[in-house]
Amino acid sequence: MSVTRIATDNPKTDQWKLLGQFAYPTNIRNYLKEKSLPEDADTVDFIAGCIRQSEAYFTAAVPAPLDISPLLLYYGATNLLAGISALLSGAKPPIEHHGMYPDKSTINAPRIADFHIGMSGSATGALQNFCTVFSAGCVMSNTGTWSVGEILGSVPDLVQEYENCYRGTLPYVIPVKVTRAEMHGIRFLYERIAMSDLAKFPDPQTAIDLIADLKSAYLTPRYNIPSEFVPLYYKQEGTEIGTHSIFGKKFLQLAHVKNGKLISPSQLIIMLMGLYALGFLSRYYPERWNPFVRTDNTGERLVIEKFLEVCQRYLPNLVLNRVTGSRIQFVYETETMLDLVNPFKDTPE
Amino acid sequence: MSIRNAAFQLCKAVWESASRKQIVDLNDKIHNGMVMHFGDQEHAQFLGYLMVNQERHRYAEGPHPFNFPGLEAEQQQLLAAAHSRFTELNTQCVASLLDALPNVSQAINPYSRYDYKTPTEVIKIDLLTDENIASMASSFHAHPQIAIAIETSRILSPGITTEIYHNDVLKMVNELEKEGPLKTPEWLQRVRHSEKLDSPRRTYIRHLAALASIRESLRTLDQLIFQKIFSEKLVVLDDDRIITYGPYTVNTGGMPIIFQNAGYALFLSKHDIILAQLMALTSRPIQLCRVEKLDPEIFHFPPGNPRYIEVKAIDEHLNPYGALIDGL
Repeated sequence: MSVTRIATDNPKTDQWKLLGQFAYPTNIRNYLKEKSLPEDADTVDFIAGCIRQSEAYFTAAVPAPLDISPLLLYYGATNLLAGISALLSGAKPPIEHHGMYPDKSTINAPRIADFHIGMSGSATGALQNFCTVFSAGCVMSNTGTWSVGEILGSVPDLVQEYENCYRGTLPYVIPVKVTRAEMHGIRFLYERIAMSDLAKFPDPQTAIDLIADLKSAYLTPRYNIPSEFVPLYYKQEGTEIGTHSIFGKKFLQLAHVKNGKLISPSQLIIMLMGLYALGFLSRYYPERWNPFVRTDNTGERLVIEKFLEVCQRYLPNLVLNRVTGSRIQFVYETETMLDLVNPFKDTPE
Repeated sequence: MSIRNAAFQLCKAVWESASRKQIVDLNDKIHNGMVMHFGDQEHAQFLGYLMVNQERHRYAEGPHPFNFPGLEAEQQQLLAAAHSRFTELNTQCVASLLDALPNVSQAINPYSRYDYKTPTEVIKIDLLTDENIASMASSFHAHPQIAIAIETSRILSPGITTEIYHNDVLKMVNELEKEGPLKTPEWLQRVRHSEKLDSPRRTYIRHLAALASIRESLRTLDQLIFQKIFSEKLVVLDDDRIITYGPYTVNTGGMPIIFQNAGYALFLSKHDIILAQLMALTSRPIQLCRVEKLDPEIFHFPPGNPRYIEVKAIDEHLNPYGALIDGL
């Protein structure tokens, strides 16, 4: 995916300005026309309404306390995803329910991370509909239950807090470094996984084997032990895999093993699942949520708050990426001169 | 049948021969020895080991002396026998050319640059049977450069001795090797652009190029058979191994590739024959190629690291100069 850098000093506001254009029927119709999609009046109003409401929920979530912010963000997310799904397909998605359900036996688990949700996998469930659009058709049916912990461990911007709070638990993302090299005048890019990031796993190959769709993107990884890095060379005509943090750092996603299958929903869907779980707890089980909010003494609250902040900032960004087909990177960059002396100096990805 | 296909059939017969196992066992015994280490660097198949064995005393002299045991008598016999099958094959392949131009015998012999005293008696092994050799030679006789060599010789003045032929052809081969697979030598470009098609100088160069092509085709054939003795399959550099390409040079059939050093590619060395996926203008064929340059050259370079290689495509006549001399 190409990268579009947008200079801004307020990415949260600016991403909504870009998304907000689709709150206007004229812009929606122009988009649908451009994409040769049907311009149904109801659908246009649906899209406009979803985007407006979505922004309102996200805005309302900012000053809202932890008691209600997960639910506000979940409603904001579902509206946003529903509206954009309709925009991209030209039709309202056939959604009748969330597509997820709580595992009530885990509501009173000691940690929020141990609360589980299940996937209905139904064609009229919101989650599966959104997976079709935002997660390359990842099939979530028959994947059993997912814990809040494994959802949190799948968010790149949360890795540090996750590992600090849930010691001994392994994350579901591994950072990679995009590297430029040269041999005999031929320049090429490749990626490197630091062995120190693999060292936390039982053995490096276990983690590598779990990287979702690795073979479609890279040559079979070969490495020595001991070694500082595992190099990943792009396949000729391979696909691009992985996800990025808010600041553009690339991560590879480790698949979740569910009923013998390897499942790897996109970061966007992971966030939606997390918001559903936390939103459900806060809305329907205040007797569980309230004590956590008031008196958590484990530090888990920090992880949850950070998760919500990341969703607030990055979920709309990920949706924008899907709409534009480009990875939008908001940067704080002042104007510089054009350097013709060192034209090949290191540039950001 | 094309020379290339005939060569593949011959390789299949070699794979199934009884002598192959004997040679492989011998190879396992001398695998870590100095004879093999220095012999491999000669890029002369079995002759390399025989020469190093013969010249052991030279390695023991000089500022960094190397004393190492030689081959046992039985081992020498087996290697000499294998080499003699190769030379028999080469001779049969160019029989028609040698009938017409006996003075080119040294020039087209891929082993001519090596000074080795062949033993007077050599045991016979079934590595390359007389039948297999005859079949291969029959296909090789159709090598187009044989006809060109004979035809161009008619226009040249007589009196080109064996020594002159040998020196001039070897000089051409050395210059082409020095230039590498990614560039056409300047002298060749000048001939192409400034000399008339039938000028004496251009005709002589065409004549030498034909002989050099035949020499290198035999060298390719010998190397293919040699590799087949030890490995059933050729190393393949394709999408499963290639990291990136440099530009493909149409005039030479050469291309630089950066690949992931792993698997059998770990053991690649210069002049090996491999299959490589070339990036031509409109297609990406997997083609028989010769390794012209490797960086790093040492084979025990850590696995997983990128390695640089320059390869030259080999045509259906096993000629690595096909693209280079086309239209000369």
